[in-house]
Amino acid sequence: MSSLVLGLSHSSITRPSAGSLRHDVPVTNAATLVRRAQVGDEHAFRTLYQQHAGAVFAVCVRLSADGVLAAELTQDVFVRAWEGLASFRGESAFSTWLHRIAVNVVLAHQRTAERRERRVSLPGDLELESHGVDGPSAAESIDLERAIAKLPTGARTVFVLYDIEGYSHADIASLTGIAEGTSKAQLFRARRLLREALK
Amino acid sequence: MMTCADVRDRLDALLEGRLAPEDAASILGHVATCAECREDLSAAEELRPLVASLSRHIEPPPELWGAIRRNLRSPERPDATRWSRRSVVFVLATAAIVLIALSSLITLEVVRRTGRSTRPAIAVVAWEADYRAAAADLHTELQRRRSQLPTSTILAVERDLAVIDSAISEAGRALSGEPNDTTLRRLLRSSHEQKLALLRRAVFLGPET
Repeated sequence: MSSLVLGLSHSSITRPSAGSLRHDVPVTNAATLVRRAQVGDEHAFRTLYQQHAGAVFAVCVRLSADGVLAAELTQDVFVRAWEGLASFRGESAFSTWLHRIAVNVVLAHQRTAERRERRVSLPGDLELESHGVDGPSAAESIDLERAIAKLPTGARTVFVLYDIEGYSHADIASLTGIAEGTSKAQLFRARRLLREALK
Repeated sequence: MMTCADVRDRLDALLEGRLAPEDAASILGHVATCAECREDLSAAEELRPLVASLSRHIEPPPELWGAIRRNLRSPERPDATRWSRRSVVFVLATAAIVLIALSSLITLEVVRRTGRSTRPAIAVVAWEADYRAAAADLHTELQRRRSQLPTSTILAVERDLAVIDSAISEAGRALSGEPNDTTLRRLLRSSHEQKLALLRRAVFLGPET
């Protein structure tokens, strides 16, 4: 698909030859993909999805502790991202912007949905990447994933956001509406519960 | 005097080696005498390598993209608002009036310049080919969605496309006689832009598949 189809100016991107198919669009960088997606190019958005779906699904599945729900939330994240692309100004990385949407979508769901009893089933429906031979084994990682999924919601949310995703307690307080002190207390509670579960 | 709260605040910094030696010593001094803080330190130490080993990517179900795509609608664009189906006929009709005026302007230019030159508009060919290719792509997409569009929309789009194509033809003929005339070039380019805008709007208005 040419830039003209997408409504881009002549100088904004390098266009393929006239008449080329949309599948031939050269993917140069994230900014170009975002710009194309912003004007309605689903193929560019699909490439962005392919690049970021794993990270979005990971945060959704860990926060929700439910593989089926995580898929629904991931879908919601990308639909919202598509609809909100015009508001993305490139002031942060696209991945950061998308990650924030994902966290907000999951936390909003947690605030409004009834507590779900289903728990994630890792071996059957999720594919975890294997890790280096020098570090913990894949089995240990899966044990940890299971243990995280069994944490109480509050402790799990703080543990995932702080220890795995790298948010500060101030960020977590802002995102979840709890006090910073509560966030810290939940983190230490989560760590102790996990340590106990992994013994 | 170091408290449990102080220790908790600095535990991660301690494990990451970011504390000054004297601060680290103070924390370790407290931990040596506090079972609660010792428990927290042990838990953090043991989990750290495990957490670091977790994958930051987990593959979602392969069919997820299809579900997402079915829910994608035309995004809000920075330079345009979303068009409602109900307003499209009115908008396209307004566009047609503008285009008829544009076409008339081109006709006047053609009449005024007739007979001046017969040089081919070589310089125009390159960018006009791009416009035509883009319009062809959009037209193909529009045809694909044709069965899903209201008849009134299809008729409005086809009527306006005919007006625009007429304007493009006239401008093209005029430019073949005056290939370096910037006004005619601008008119031709404007006509192509109008056509693409119309096609894009019609495609984005159509139901997603």
